[in-house]
Amino acid sequence: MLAIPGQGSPADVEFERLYRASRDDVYAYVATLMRDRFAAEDVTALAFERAYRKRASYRPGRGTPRAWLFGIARNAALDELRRRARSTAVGAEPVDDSAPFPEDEAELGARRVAVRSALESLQPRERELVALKFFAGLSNAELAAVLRTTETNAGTLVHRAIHKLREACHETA
Amino acid sequence: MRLRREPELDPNTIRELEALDAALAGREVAPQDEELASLAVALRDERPEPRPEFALDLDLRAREGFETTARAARAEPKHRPRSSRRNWGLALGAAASLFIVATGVIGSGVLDSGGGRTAGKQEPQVMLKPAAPPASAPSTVGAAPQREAQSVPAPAGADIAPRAPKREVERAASLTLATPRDRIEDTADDAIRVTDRHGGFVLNSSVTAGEGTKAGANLDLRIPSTRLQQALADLSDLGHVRARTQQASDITAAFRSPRRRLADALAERRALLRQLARAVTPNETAAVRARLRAVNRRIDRAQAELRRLNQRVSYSAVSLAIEPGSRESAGGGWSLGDAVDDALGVLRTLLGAALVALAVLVPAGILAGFGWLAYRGWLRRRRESALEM
Repeated sequence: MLAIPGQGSPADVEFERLYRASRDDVYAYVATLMRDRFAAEDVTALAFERAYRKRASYRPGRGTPRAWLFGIARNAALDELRRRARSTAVGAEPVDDSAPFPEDEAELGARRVAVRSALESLQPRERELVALKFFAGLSNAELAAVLRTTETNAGTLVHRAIHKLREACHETA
Repeated sequence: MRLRREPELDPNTIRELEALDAALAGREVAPQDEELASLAVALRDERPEPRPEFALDLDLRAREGFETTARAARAEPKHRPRSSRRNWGLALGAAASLFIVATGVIGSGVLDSGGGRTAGKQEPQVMLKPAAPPASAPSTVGAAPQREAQSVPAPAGADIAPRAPKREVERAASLTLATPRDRIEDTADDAIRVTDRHGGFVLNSSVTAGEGTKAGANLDLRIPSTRLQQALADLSDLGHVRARTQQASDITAAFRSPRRRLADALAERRALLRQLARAVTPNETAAVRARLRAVNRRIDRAQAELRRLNQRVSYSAVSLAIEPGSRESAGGGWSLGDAVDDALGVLRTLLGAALVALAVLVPAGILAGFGWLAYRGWLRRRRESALEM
């Protein structure tokens, strides 16, 4: 169990639980937005640092702790994206899709290549939706809280993105 | 509160979204959604995983309470100055609001409208009337004392002198005092003593003692203008001040005509005296003497008029009324009633200041609220624009 300083308070205990449950999910989401592994690590650390500083300001009525945490991570990632866009044009890290697949997994490998290509073809906003839904495992309600939209609208956006992804997969195949 | 009704998802979309959730949770899906489910699983398998070194490093930082490290600081260099700038903006906004409030309070005159020690009493009102018509002159009693701004007949040609003419101001005051019924005569005597002490005199006085409704005293005083304020303060100490007013009238214009007539008559008299010296026949001498007598009468009249005007400037008319009152209100000192009056005055002032402050702060707060909302919207749009880059 993590020994976060001041863990005696309920807020600290809750934060520790949130950190352990969300560390990899936040990284996956941020990495999808940033498309740069090292930048994603910096932003993930920054997001947790900010969330830890602001942990007392969390209000349950405004969404789940995960939605709150992903909102902070989103802001940090978007700020960093803007900063990087201003300072220098950093190209996206090339996706390593040349990894060899065993022969018996050739079909699965082809499927993965198709999915990766389809993901690349998505717009950034659609890629963000996919990351929140399938990489971070957020519910539609949490997704709506992060994107500051309604749950219905979030569901529609996810549905639209997944269909676009499916079509892109078919084209690639 | 939602102003628009949310459109509902169609059943097909709901079914497919539920199939996605089921696939991610590892549950069975309907055959028609198997392709969608396999896509969801494939997507989940594409999830980027953190390097073990990074995960370990982050765990360590979590253990240390997420102290800001150099790496995190590098990722956030733009935020702190921005935050600092925002603080400066807030500080400037607060200072501007305070300035507006202070200006409003001072400009509204709320702070001047009361709160004096003699709240509830009429404060002295000094009104400078421009060129009031000359009033009937009082009877001349005694010699005019030395005035601070003594008016003297101007020499011939003084009107064309480059310096600005000295202003002649006539002052008057009225004072109403309350004193116990059995002390009305004593208070009137004290008032006369105060008048004597300041070099003034009593022009008229009437004192009615007893239990009747007409009990009271009225004194028409003349007090040297240079001692007026001190005399009024001393008179005010003799009882409870119910009313006190002061007036000032500029009567400089009233001096011009007699001064000019006096100067002309004096010049004519000098000329006649020279003629008299040159006169050789009895007839000539008699004629010049007759004209001299007429000129002397004109000189006397002009000088008398100037004396009366000087008297009005040198002495201030003070009308003192002494009325019967209760012992508490006539104590002369700071009574309980005065304290209540003062307290009410302070409350009125505070209430007025609070209203003025509210009148400024409420619109300013609303504007600041809109500004804050606009700023948040702009910040959000700017952040969102990063996804378009």
